[in-house]
Amino acid sequence: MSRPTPLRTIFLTLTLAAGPAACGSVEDDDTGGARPESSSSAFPVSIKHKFGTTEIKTAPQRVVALGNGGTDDIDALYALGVTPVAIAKDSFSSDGVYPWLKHRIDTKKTKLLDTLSGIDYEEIAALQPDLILATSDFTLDKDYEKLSAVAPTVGFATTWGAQTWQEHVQVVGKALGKEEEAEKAIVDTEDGIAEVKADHPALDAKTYTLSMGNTPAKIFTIASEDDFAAKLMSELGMSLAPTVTDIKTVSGSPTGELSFEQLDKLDADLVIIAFTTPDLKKAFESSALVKNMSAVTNGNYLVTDAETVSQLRSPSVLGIPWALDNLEPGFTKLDK
Amino acid sequence: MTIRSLAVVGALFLLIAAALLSLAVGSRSLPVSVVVDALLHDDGSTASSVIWDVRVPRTLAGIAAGSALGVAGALIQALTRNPLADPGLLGINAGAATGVVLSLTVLGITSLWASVWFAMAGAVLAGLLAYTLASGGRGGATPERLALGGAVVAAVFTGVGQTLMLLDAQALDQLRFWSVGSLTRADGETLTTVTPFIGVGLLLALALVRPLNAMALGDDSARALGARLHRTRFLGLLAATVLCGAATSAVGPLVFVGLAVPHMARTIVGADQRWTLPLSMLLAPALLLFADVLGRIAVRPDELDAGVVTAVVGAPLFIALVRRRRVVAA
Repeated sequence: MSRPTPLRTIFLTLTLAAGPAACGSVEDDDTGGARPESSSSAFPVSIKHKFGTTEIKTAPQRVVALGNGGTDDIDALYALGVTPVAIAKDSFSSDGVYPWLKHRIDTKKTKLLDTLSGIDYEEIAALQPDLILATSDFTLDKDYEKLSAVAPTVGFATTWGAQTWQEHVQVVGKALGKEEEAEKAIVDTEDGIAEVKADHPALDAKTYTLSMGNTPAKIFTIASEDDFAAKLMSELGMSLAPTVTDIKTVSGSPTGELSFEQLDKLDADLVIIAFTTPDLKKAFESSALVKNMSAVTNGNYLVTDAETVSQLRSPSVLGIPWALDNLEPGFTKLDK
Repeated sequence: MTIRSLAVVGALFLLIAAALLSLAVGSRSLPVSVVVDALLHDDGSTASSVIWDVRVPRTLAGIAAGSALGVAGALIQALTRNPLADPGLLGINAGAATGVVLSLTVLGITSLWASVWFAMAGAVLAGLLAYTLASGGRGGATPERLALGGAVVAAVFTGVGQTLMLLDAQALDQLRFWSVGSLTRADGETLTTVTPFIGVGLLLALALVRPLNAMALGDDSARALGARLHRTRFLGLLAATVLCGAATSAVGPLVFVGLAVPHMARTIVGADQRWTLPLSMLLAPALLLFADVLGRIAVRPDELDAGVVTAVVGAPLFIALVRRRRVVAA
C-alpha cells in the first residue's frame, strides 16, 4: 500500500511553516481529513529505549536526526517522506550530503549539522525541534540528558549499533505515526536485495572479503559473519573467506587487521576493498602477495570507496541499494 | 679494552642481533632457510615479497629512526641539563605532527612522501621557535629557558594541530594512526628522503661531544674552558631538531626511546658525551627493533605498533633502571 502524496506535501509544508506557535497545535487543522487512521490515532506513542521511555504526544513536525556513526534515522525520515529540520552532516563528503540522499536532501529546508567533534545543543535548541532521533549517536550516553531537555529524544535500544536497519526504520515509523509506511520502506529495500540476488545467481556459495585500507602497512577487514556487512552479503548467498574468519579480533569486534605479511589471506572469489588515499592503494597493489592473489589475477578484485564500505557496515534503508549498486561491477564479474 | 669500548662493541652486536631477528621474525612464519634464500634472491615469490617489501624497509626504518631518536634524546638532555628531557619537551614532536596535520587538512595532501617534508618543516620551525624564545632577553638560551620555551611551543603547536584535526574527519582518521609510532609506515621512498638528514644530524651531534662535556660543568666553567656556549647550544638544538624531525616524519612519534636510552647509556659509560652519544646511537635502534619484533609475535597474526610496545615494555624497564641505580645526570 502506498502512502498518498497529499500527506507528504502537507508534512513538507508543515515542517517549513512550523514555528514555535505551530508546535503541538497542528493536529486539529486541515490535516484531519487527509491523515489516515493509523496516523491520527497513533498518538500519543511511547518508545522505550536505553535511556528511558520517550513520550511523543502529537505527530512531530520539526524533526532533528543526529548520529555521527550511522545514518539509520536520517534514511528512515527520508524513506517515510519526512523532511527533517536538521540532520548530522556526512563528514566524509565535501558538501556534507550523503551520496545516496543527494536528490532527497534539500539544504534550504534541512540544516546540516557538524556533530563530529560534539553536539552543539544550543544550535539544536534554536531549531525548536519537537522530536530528536539519536539512535545512531555514538556518544548518546553523555548527550542524552541535554538533548532530552530540548525535545523528546529517541535513543538506541540497548547499545549503539546493535539494532538492525529494519528495527531502526520501525522505531522511526512509530515515532512519526507512520508504521505502515515504515513496513513498506523495509519491504522495498528487502525486495531490492532479493533482486540483486536474483540477478546474480552465481553469487551463491561464493566467498568474499571486504576490507578497508586507511592506515599504512595495515588492512582492516571484516572477520566475522556477525558484522552487518557480512549479514547483508549472506543475503546474497555469499560468505566470508575462511582465511579471514580465523583472524583474532579484539574482544568480540567483528573486524580484524592484517599486516602486509598476511595480505594473501584476503584472497577469495571476490575481493572488495576501499582505500582512503591513493598512496595506500598503491602500496597495497604493489605487494606481490596481492599481485599473486587468484582474485587479482582473475580480475575479481573490486576497489570501492570508503563510504560504500561504511554503508555496508552500518546499512540503512536508503543506503543499502546505493551500496549494492556500487558493488555491481564485482557481482557482474562473478557471473561469468 | 676498557669497559667503555666493550660496551660500545657489545651494543653494536646487540644491534646486529636485533636487525637479524627483525628480518627473520614476523607475523607470517617463514623458516630461516626461506628467509636467507629470499634475502639472496628477490624472485618475486611470496617469501621474497614479505622480506623485501615488509621486513627490510621496516628494519632499516628501525635503525635510522632509533639512532636518530637516541642521539637526539641524549643531546636534548645535555643541552637542557634536564634528565627528563626528550624531543617532546622542546616541542619538536608537536611541530612535526602539526606539519602533517596542516598538509592533510589545509592543503589536502595525502601523499606519504610529501607529509615527510611537512613534518620536517614543522619540527624545524618548532625547534627554531623554542630557541628564539629561549635566547631573547639577557643571558641567552640557558637550559631553563630552553625547557620553558619548548614547553610553550609544544603547547601552541599541539593546540593548533588538534583544532585542525577536529575540524576535518578525514584528517582525524589519518592522524589517529599517525599518532602511534610505527616502523611499518616508512616505505623505501620515505627512507631515502630522511636518511641524509639523519646522517648529517648524527655527524653534527658527534662533532659537538667536547663542548657538550665542557657545558656539563656549568656555563661559567664551560666558558673558562673555552667552549662557545651559544654556538654549541644552537648547533646542538639544530642537530636534535633535524634528527627528531626526520625520525618522527618517517615513523611517527616514538618518544620513549629518546628519553630512556640516554639514561641507560649513562648508567653504563658515565656522563661523558664521547661515549654516551655513540652508545645511545647503537642501543636505541637495538631497543626499538627488539620492541618491534616483540610486537609482531605478541598478538599473532595481528601486530602491535612499535610505539605501543616501547611504551608498555619500556616504562617498567625505565622505572627499574631509575630505582636500582643512581641516575647519572646529563
